[in-house]
Amino acid sequence: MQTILVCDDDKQIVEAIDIYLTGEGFRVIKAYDGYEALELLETNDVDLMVIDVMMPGLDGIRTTLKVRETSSIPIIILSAKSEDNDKILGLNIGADDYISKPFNPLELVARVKSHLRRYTQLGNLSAQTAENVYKCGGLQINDDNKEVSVDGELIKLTPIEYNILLLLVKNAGKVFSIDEIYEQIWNEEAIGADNTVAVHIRHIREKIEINPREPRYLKVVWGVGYKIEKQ
Amino acid sequence: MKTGLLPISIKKQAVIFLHLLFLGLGFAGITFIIFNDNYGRGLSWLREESYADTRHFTHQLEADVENIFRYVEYKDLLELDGEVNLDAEMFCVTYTSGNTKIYTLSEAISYARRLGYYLNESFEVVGGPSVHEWETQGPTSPYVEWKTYAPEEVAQGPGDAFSTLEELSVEVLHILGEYYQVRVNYMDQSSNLYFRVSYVDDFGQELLYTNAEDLTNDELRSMGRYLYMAGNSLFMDTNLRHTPENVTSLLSTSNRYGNQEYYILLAVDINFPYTDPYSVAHAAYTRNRTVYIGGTILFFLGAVGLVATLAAMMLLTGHVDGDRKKIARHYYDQLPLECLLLLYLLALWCVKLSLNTIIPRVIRLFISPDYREYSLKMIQYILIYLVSLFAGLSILRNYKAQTLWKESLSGRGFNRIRPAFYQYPLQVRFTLSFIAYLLCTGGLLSAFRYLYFKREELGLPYLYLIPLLILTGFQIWTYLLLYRSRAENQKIANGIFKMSEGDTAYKIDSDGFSELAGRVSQALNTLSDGLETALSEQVKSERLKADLITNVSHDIKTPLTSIINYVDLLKRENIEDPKIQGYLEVLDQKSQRLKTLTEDLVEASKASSGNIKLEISAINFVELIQQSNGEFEERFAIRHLQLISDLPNEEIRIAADGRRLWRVLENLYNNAFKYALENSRVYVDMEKINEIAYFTIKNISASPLNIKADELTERFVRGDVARTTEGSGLGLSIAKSLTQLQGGSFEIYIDGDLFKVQVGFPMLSE
Repeated sequence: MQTILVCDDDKQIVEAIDIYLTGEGFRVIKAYDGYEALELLETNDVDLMVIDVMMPGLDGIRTTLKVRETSSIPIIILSAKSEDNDKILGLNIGADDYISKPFNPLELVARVKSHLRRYTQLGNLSAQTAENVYKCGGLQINDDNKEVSVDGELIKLTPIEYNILLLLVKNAGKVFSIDEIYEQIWNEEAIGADNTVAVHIRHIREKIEINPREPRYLKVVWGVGYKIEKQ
Repeated sequence: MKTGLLPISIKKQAVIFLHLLFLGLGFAGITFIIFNDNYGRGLSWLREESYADTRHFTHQLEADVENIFRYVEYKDLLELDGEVNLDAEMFCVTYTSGNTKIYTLSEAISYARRLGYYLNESFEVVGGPSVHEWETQGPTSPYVEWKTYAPEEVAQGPGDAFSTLEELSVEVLHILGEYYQVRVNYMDQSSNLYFRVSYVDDFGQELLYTNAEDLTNDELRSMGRYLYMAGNSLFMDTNLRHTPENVTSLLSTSNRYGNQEYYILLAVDINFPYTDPYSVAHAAYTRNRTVYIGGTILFFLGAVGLVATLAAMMLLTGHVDGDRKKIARHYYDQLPLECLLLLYLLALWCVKLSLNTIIPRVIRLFISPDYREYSLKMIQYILIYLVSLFAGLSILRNYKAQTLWKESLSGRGFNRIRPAFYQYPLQVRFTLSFIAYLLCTGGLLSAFRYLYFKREELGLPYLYLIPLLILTGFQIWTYLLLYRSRAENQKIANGIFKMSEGDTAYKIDSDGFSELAGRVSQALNTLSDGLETALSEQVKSERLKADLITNVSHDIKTPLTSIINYVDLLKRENIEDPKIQGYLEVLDQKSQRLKTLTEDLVEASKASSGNIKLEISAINFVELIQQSNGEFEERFAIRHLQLISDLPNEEIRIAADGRRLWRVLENLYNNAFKYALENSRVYVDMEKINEIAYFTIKNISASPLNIKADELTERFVRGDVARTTEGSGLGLSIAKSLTQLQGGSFEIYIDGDLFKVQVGFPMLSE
């Protein structure tokens, strides 16, 4: 059974998260400020931490910094601050994810699961460095048996979706415009290409991303094209 | 004034003392120069000339040349083997008795001596009897047969050939004197002049007359100055600046032989080792020169010192210890300018009067006649200078104290008239001023003209310069006044333009402005201050508002999180009662709306206050619309809306922040999704007009749009006044603010139920 440390000064929120995560079969230990969280981390074998930013005493950012001195467990920051700057700060100091309040409980659960899978399983996956296997963070494409998995979970894609994703993953970091993708996948010149490509991309995002509006892998570069974030 | 170590009063006294000292030095220098023999020759001779180059030297040389040839003449006559031959025959006379007698030198001398004649120290004939022979004997003089010393003398008239024995013996004595003179001056005594005259007689024998037998010609030439002239050449070899004019003629007339093989060589040792007329004259010349140089130096020293101390006086005058700005005026400084000038003229008149009466008498007591005229002139200059200095410094103090004009009679009068003058309207004032200007100019011009043409009759030749000077000053003053006014206007205008362009921190530099312009610029500066404060206050309050909204939304979000989570948990409980399920649904919807509202509120306040960091880059507008279409096509299908897009088949590049522009389009698509009539079509297209790319989205509103287009972008305004549907009412406001922040245009058109939004961005040229 995996142990998750939840830390927030609002008891009701901690309680609600407890209910959701316990329902999914995790063991939850609760803390109400940063010092408490650090103490619990020392005495318990914790697999993942969910932490609020604005707390009395030691805040979430400083707690995260402290934890990162000794541990590499996944940390998800949960904050009422939703501005870009806050997210960037949180991710830069060592958090793995940033969820802004009010959050969708299902999304939180999905992210917790995803991070745990990556943290615990990816170690052995990376050992198999097969020829036609492309990896990008938790996203993995095996071109031999045409299998796509995110954090170890198999994803079903249509052939066109698969080809688009393969193209982007093979060239991770490069931005492809709609016309370029169309020409590569359909092998036709894109004359007044309709919305097909954009719709396909949206479908892929819905399948591989936890929150398609805030994608982790398939990013939209608005007005330029699409790309897979190099990780 | 810098306050130095010394008190100002000491400084002033020192400067005045120095000024008088330099004045004395300068006049002493002038005196030295004027009474020098070289006065009027300029300065170049000091550098270029030595005594041997002067005319005086040449005159001396000419006199010596004459003596030398006299010696040449008499040497053969009087000398035998280097000694005076007393037996030399001098003349022969025939008495009326018929006796003929030849007189020798000794006989002639003893006869002359008997009569009382003798040679003095400088070998001139002096003495003689009280009654001369020719006075007593008269016509019974002996007939002169010949004279060896004047062999070619021919009787001019019948009586000329007769002469008294006294006359003849005095002639001989005179010749002997001249002979001795040369012999003693040039040969027995050492002389700075060396000569060598050489003739060749008819027997080919060289006859040498010289005082430099031991020296060769080349040695003589290296003495310093020399002159060489040969009988067979017209060329005179010399390094003299001025050649003696008598050499050539004397040389050839003294040649008694029929050949041209003679020459003369003169040399002067310019070190002047021996005392003779040359060395004496040289010493005098050198002394003169030194005095002249000294005088020149004194004059320049005096002039420079005079100017320097005058400047120091001008700087110091009026200032006192302690307060820098305070100007102390003497009691006579407080007289009006006109009175001061009158006093000045009076003082000048007094000077003139005393120069005509007292001073010449005093001068006569002490000063020799040669210098009287000069000293009178000097005293006149000095007195006029001192009086002018006194008056000038007084005016300067008044100028420093800024009372020159204010306390003058005309200034006071002007100031009294001024307020009355300012009661007239501007046109009258301006016209009057201009007329006054014309009158002044015209008056001065005619004064100048009158004085200039009448200058001979008035006896005041330079009086016409006074109106000319005043006129020039007046025109310069007018020019400066006009220039200043124009420059002030220019500066003020620049300031106004700068402020209107938004540079509210701009301040007009009113240094040196006139009173009116200074007040105007001060007022403008105050205005810009107020404007700047107001602007910064506004910016500050906008930021405060945005910060407040952000903080409030953070505080709302935490409880909202619990509400949403626990509503969700409630929904997971198996509640059968449809009523409770309905309630839960409402709670769920409203809590979700509250969530959207808080998020949009923050965004709207930030967008409208401009408190957003944009990442502007070149993006493809068409690509962005295609991406947006892709995001919404399927959502539209839920409400049976058909998305019809008409996009150009090319890149349209614009400068924008892609993510923020997506927010704009997302809000517009969402708007269409929420408010469009079901089963209708949403049109999306793009067109280029005048290098501006316009994106347009059109849909038919589900409910009637009884609202003005521009009201829709105001915060919290929605198409349905009843606010039954979800949405914050901030979407269009955010979209408009974000578009404008990125430099685009955002227009809403409503035509019946047709709702249309147009977003325009200037295209980037390749």
